[in-house]
Amino acid sequence: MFSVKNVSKRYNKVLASDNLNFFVNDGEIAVLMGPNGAGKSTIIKCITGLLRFDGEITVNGYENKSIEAKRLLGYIPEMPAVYDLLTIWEHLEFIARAYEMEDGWQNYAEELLKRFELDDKKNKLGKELSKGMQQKLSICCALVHRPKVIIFDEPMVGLDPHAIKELKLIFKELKAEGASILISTHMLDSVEDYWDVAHIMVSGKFAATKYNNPDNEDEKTLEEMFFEITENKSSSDE
Amino acid sequence: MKAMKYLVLTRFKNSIIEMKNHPSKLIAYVFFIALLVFVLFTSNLDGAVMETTRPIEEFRAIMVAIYFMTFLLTVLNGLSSGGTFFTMPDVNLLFLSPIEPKKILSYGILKNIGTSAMVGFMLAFQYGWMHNLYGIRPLDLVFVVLGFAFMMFIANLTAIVVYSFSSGNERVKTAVRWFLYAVCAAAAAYILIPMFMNYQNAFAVGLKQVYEPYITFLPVGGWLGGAVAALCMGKVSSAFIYIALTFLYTAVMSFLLSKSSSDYYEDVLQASEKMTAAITAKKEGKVNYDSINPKNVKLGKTGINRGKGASVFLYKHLLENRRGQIFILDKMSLIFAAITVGFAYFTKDSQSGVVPAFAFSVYLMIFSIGFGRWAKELMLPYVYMIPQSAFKKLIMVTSQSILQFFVESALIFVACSFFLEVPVIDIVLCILARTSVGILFLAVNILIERIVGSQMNKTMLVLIYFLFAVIFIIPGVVLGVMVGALLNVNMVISVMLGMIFSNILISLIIGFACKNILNYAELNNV
Repeated sequence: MFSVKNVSKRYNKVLASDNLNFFVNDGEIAVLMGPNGAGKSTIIKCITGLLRFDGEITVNGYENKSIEAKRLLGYIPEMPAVYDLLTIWEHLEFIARAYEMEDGWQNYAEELLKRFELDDKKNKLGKELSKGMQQKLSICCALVHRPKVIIFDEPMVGLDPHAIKELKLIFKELKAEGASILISTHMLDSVEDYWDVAHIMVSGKFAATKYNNPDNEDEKTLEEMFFEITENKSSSDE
Repeated sequence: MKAMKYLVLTRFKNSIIEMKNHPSKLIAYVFFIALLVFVLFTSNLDGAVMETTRPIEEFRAIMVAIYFMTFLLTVLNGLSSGGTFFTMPDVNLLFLSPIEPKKILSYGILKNIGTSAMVGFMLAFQYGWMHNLYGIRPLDLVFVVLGFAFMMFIANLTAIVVYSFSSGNERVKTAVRWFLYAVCAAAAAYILIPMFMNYQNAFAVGLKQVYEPYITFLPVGGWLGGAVAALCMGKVSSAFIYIALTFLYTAVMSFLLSKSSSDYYEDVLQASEKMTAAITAKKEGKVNYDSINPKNVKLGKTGINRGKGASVFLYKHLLENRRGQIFILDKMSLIFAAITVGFAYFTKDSQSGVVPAFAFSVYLMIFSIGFGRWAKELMLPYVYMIPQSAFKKLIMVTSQSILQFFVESALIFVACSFFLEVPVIDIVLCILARTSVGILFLAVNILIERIVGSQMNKTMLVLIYFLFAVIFIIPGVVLGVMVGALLNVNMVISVMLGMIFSNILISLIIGFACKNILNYAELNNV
C-alpha cells in the first residue's frame, strides 16, 4: 500500500498539488481523474520520487525516496521513456540488472513481451519503435521487476485495442495479486468496471472522492459525477 | 501575404513581451552583448596597426576551411533530411492555408536569414585570436560575420534545392553525395599530393598549398571565405569577383527552387519533423542530440551482458556508444579535439609552449560538457527510480564522460607533442589537468541541477553554469601561481598541479554535497 499525507507541490507561483491526502491499499485500484492541468501528473511524479514536495509519502511504510520503496515501485510515465540505442530485450535486461534480479526474470519478461505482441521484435532498437510500441515497452519495463505499487500515468494513450484489452486484464491480475495501483486517465470508460476508488482533481485538490459501489443503483456514475464537477467548476470560473 | 506579415510581426511583438515577462532572456542578451564588447575592447579595438604573428594567407585558409566545411556539412545534412526553413507549426498551419506555396517559401527564406545571422554572430566572439594573430580589425569582423550568415543562408537554400530534386530518387541522392565527396577529395588531393611528392619538406609544401589562393575556388564556401579574406586584406576587386560568383549561384539556386517548388510540402515535412524533434531535445537539455544519437546505427551483438546494480549504467553507455559507432569519443569530441590541435599548431611559435593550447582546450570544454550520456540519463525516469545508492548511481552515470575526458585530453596533447617542443611531463600534466577540468565542469553541471533542478529557464541555466565554471576554476590557477612563485619552480608545472589538486578536491566536495541529486532532482519533463 502507499499513502500520501499533506502533500503540496508548488511550481513558482502555481500550487499544483494542494495539501493532498489519500492512500491506496494492497489489492486496490485507485483512479485519478480531472481536466488538463488539474495536477494529476504532478502528484504522480511526487509519489514516484521524481519531484520535490512538502508532506509525506510512504510506500509499504518506507519513505518514498528510500531504496526499499524504489524496489517496490513501478511507474509508467505519460510519455514513453525508452533508450534510442537499446533493443527491446536489452531494456528489460537493463532493468533486471539495475534491480539486481535473480535469474528467472527472463520467463516473466518473455511473457510480458508476448502479451503486448513485442516478442517478435526483441532485437528492434528503441528509436525504431512507433509511439505505441514504445508505450508497450515502457509498461513492460515498469512491470518486469514485479513491483507492489504501480503508478500508471495515462497508460492507454497510443495503445492499440489489443494492448488496451491486455492492459485491462493485467490491472485485474495485479489487483488479485495484492498490488496497489494508481491510474491517472482521461478515458472514463476504460476504468469503469474495475476501480475501487476514484478521486476527481480540480486545481490541485480532490474535488470529490467516490467509492465503487455497483449495488447502489441510485448513485451517480463516475462519468456523471466527473462532468458535474468539472463543468460546474468551469461555469463558476466564468 | 497579409497572414505572413501578421505572423512575423506578432511573433516579433510577443518575443519582446516575453522578454518583459521573463527577464532572464533579456539578461542573457545583455550578457552576450557585454561579453562581445569586452572581447572587442580587450583585443585592442582602436584597430592600431600591430605586429601580427601569423601570415594573413593563413587566415584566408582558415576562413575557407570553416566556411567550406560548414557549407558542405549543411548540404550533406540537407540531402538526407532536407534543410528546412520551416517549423512544425508552419507545416501544420501555413501549408494547409489557402496561401500560394511560393509566398510561403519566401516567408521561410526571409525567416531563415535571421537565424543565419544569429549563427554568424557567434563567430564575433572569436575576435580575440583573429585580431592578435592576423591583425583583423572590427570592420573585418563585420565581413566575417555577415559572410558566414550569408553562407549559412545559401547552404540552406542549396540543401532544399538538392533535396527537392533528389527526394524519392536514391540514385540522384547518391550521385550528389559522391559529387560533394569528390569536391572534398579534390581539395584534399590539392594539398596532399604535393606533400607526398616532396615528403622531405612535406609540412612546408602543405602550408604553401594552403596559402595559395586556389583553395578559394571551392564553390560557395571557398568563394565566400575568399571574399571575406580579400576584404580583410584590402583586395576589393578580388572580393568583388567572389561575391559576384556567389550572387550568380544564389540566383541559379533560387530559379531552380522556383521551378521545383510547386509541390515542396512533402519534401519539407519530414525535415521539419526532424528539426522539431532536435529543437525539442535541445529545449529539454538533450544537447548534442544528433552526436550521441546518430542516425546510422549498427545493431551488432545484442545484450548488455555486464554490470549489476548501478554499474549497469556504465555498460549500457558503452553499448550505446558502440551501437552509435562511437569509440569512446563522439563526433563533437573529435571535432573539438581537431580544432584544438589546429589551434595549437597555429600558436606553436608563441613562446608559451603548451599553455595556449591548454587554455583553448579548456575554453572549448565549457561548451561540450553537457554533451555526455549522463545529461540524457537525467531526462528519463530510470536513473531516479532504480533502487541503488544515489551516490553510486551518480558515479556510474558519469563514468563514461570521465573516461571520455581522459581519452579526449590524451588525444589532443599527444597529437600536440609532435609539433610542440615541450617536455613530456608538461604533456602528461596537461592531460591530467584537462581531465580534472572536465570532472570539475561535470560537477558544476550537477551542482546547478541540484540547486535549481530543471525549473529554471535554460538560458539562465547556461549563464549560471558559465559563471560557476569560471569561479571554481580560479582557485586551482591561483594556488598553482602562488606555490610556483613561493617555491620558485616551473610555473606551468606548478599551475597544472594546482589545478589538478583543486579541481578534484572541489569536484569531490560538490559530489558529496550533491550525492542525493538522484533522489531529489526535479524531473519535470517525463
